[in-house]
Amino acid sequence: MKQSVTSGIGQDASLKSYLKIFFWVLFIALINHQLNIYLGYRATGFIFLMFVTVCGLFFSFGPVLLAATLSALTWNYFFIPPKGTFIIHSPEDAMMFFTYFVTASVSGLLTYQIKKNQIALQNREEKTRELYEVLNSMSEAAKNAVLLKESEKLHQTLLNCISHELRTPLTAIMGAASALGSQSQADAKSIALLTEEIVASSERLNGVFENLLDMTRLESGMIKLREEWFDLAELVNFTLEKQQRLLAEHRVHFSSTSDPLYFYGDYDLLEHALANLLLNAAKYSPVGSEIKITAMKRRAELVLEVADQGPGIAESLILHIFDKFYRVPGTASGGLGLGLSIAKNLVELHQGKIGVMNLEERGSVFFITLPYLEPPKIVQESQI
Amino acid sequence: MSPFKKILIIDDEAPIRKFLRLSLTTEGYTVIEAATGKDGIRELIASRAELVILDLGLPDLSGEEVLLKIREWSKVPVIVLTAKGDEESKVKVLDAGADDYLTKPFSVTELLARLRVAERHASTQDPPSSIFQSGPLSVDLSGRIIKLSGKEIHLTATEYGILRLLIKNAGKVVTHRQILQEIWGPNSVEHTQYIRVYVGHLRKKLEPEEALTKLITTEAGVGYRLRVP
Repeated sequence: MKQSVTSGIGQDASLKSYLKIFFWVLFIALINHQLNIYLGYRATGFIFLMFVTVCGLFFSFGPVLLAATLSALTWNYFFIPPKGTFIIHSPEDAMMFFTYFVTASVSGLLTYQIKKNQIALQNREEKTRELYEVLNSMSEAAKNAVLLKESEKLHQTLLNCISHELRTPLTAIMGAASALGSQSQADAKSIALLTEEIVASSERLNGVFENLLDMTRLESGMIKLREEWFDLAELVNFTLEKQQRLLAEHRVHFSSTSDPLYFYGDYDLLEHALANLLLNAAKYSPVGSEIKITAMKRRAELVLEVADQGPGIAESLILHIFDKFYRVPGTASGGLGLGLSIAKNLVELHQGKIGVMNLEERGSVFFITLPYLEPPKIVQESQI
Repeated sequence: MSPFKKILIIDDEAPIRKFLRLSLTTEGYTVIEAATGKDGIRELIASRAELVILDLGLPDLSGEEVLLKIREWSKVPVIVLTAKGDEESKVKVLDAGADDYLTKPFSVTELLARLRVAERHASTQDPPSSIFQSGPLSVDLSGRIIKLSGKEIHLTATEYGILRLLIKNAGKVVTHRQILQEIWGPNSVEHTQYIRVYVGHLRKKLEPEEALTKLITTEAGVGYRLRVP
């Protein structure tokens, strides 16, 4: 609170303000003495009255009352005849003196009151504003605290996920490697099995890094599209070949139209997107079940579908499964919850869409739609 | 035809050098190590190594700088090691004259396969044999006759050009830029977008579905490689 009601108008009823009043009355009296010649003693009373009213603006109760009294006495003593006495002869003058005293006191005090109210109002406004600011900053702080807590929670989840995702394959690698080291007799079959375990776990570890790297690059906007024309069927075949090992436990089928489905985009990035859909399908559908990939042109779009025979996705979760770090509650298999989010980002970089639907019988189908563009005009060459 | 004996490893990471040294010495190679680009170049001059394994993430010089320095006076085969996310520098180095690349993490099997290919390319000073054979495919480069399981197939000039380039570099990666330069000449950037389409056509003719042997493999972000038998 920067100012109090009284100090706001310099109205501290200290000795200083009483002295001020004393000198002001003296000063006005001197002016009136000069004016008296031209105006007469009655008009000088009005000048005193004006002075007292104005005093209300600058002084508090006591000094204003002093100003009224002192000015009345001064007026009486120096101006109302007979001068130099406090005696008033004419009843008219006596009436005027009395009226003066009452009017001066009341108007001075009223001015003071009005001023006081205004200051109080100002102060109240000031206080309200300050209070508002305090509240606001408090809610801001509260909001920040909530955000901080949320981000801490996210960090914690992320850390847990990453450490789990890294530790599991590392444990397998360390276990298998130390088993290899301690085997006294080289049993070709167990060596092959242990080695296979090391390789598979290393690949899993590498996958975690690739996803984290992809996500970081997507977030920082560092990904530059290297666009070129290619056939979607080629993309699918390449991805299937690359992910062979991780898809080995499923029956994978790919069907496509006989005509090439040309798309102009970044081959490698779309390969990542598709690989993530395929790995997701493999992860959440039973071993031995079928994963069906279809590529087609539908109206002005190219469509890639990946259908699995997993449990499907609860309608309430469909909105979230493309969110970063989101994992369907209760799912046992590991993962950072990044694959689908990365796929979505990569597809959207190509002005495409990604989505999922539950199939009527069983499983779900993820689809990528990409805008169909007029295929390249390639000069037809004769064969040699 | 003498296989390489001396291999120079330029990599600042000691665990990688150790892993490479262990794997290569068991295969009978002599290994020389350097931890910086400058040391690497010095070691190459002093040791007369027959092959260089060059890491792209060196502390003192970029992989490209090391390679260009080496190429000023030596044609020694160089295999570069890259990390994921390094795509651009990888392509730059390959276009600048590196022979092949391996992305970390890689397996010893992959490394040894790359070494064998490099050895083969280095040892064939005499003109390469005019007949290329891989599985059911045979290509007579002098007569321009391409046969698949004994049946002659017809390629367009562009398709044949790409195939011949891949055969010339059989087993080695061929970058997009190398294909562009060889087939369309140096000022043909507009064709970049179509390479996959041409290779797609070529594949369709050379890789009948039932065979499913992937003769031409795609190297993500880099180019193509013809699988050697």
